[in-house]
Amino acid sequence: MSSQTSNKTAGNDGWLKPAVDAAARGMIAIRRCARCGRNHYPPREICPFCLDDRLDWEISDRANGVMLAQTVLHHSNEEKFRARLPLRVGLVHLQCGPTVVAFVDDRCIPGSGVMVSARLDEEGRPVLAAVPQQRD
Amino acid sequence: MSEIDSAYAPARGYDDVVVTAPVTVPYVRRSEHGAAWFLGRALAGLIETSGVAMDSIDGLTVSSFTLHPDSAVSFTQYVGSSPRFLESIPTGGACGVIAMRRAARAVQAGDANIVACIAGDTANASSFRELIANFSTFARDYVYPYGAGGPNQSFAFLTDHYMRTRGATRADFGKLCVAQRENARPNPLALFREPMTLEAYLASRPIAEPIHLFDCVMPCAGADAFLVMHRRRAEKLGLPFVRILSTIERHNAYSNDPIQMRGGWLMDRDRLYAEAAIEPGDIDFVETYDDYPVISMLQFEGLGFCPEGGAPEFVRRNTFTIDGSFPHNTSGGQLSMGQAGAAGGFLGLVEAIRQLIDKPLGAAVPNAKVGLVSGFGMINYDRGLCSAAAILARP
Ligand SMILES: [Zn+2]
Repeated sequence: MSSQTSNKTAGNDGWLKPAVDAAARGMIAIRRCARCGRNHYPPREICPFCLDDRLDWEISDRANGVMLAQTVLHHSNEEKFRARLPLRVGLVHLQCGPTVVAFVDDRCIPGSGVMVSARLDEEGRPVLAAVPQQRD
Repeated sequence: MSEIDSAYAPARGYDDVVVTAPVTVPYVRRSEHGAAWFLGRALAGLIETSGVAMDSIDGLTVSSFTLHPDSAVSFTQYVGSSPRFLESIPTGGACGVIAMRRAARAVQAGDANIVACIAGDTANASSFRELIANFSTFARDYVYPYGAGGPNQSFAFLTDHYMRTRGATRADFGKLCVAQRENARPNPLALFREPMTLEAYLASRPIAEPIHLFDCVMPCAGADAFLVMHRRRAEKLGLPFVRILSTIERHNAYSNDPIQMRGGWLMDRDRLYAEAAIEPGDIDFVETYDDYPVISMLQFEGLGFCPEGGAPEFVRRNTFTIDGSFPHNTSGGQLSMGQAGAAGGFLGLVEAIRQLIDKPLGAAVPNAKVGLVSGFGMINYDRGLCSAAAILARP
């Protein structure tokens, strides 16, 4: 099953290639509407705010946000994650608009600022990870 | 309410369309049968319970996750049914109320005389994993790769956030779970009937913190079903029935909320009560969709039993057993009966029908005349998308 779902550039998913290429370079890609200017995630081919299909990718090395909620997983439905349990995952509300699911560093605290970056997982899918925001 | 909403005319009532013949194909933890067997046995159960001939059932709604690659259409060929009204209702935990309201309008409009509403699923070692791994594109590509926790993981986010912002404690959730287990004790179809203490609830092992084992429903196999028809037809058949006072449904409500703290009920509940011409205080019992306890709390708030954010306090000052101050999930709910896939969206509705025709699976709510059934379906990416509710009454 996972082998069928991992290749994001196959079939009708070719439009996602820029997000995969960005994640391969550690960059996070967020969909941005050329008409209304709003950002959304997960990426779509239609803007959920105005239905336009002229959508760009905003690619950056990190996105700032606030961690809204977290969970510590003690159970996984996939063997490959079981060795990594307990595993911390969070919901992060990005400053640029959308809410994303991300792996979160143990030092991230709900309600506090985090920085989110991207990478490719073992199956070639872009995944996001959050660390606490640096204080300047 | 938005300007457009307030301009809506009230929905037409359901006149003399009624709901009857609640059927449950007993739930089992695992099965070697396919989904079509459970759905087919539910259909047979409707025929046996009602005395209606197969040919007289001219409408059908089907809800199932594991029927795939078959569909509602191929299921008609599978069971030799030839309906003139057919609906596939894919709204998960909201599918019972939604199937009923679709069926009721079809009967009211004359598109069908008798509609069989059925929901069921099978379960085996791999079916649950396959279902959640490919639940939707958003779930498959933007949640599942983060630990493959499934619905536990998504509901853990909502629970964690609700606990911190609303002050709910695990003991508050536990109170609901313990009461439901108490309600399940006289129900012979419940998978879990042994008493559960709050201490045992609190000591259960973590699954996806803050969700622990006894917050989770047990995936299982089974089916539920009921019939929708005109009152005079039910009377002629000698079938006890209930009236539909009002119904609501909503999808993808409040999509701009950064995290889900409310469901669609809040958008539609004024209409629900106005069209039924009753108040929340007139409701004798409530069946919520109890996957997970935090979602029951969102339903108490959304349906006006307490203010937004007030559910923890509401839980502390009420009792939720059948003889309690707020009889809730009177068969034990999914937490005690198990979650037979899409049938989980029917469980509360068939129990409400049974309470109102004096044939509950377990104990009867004393003097119950009006019941409220609520549904919540399809957790997708970060939130549940479907909400529905219905108010049912004795004739
Ligand atoms: Zn737009």
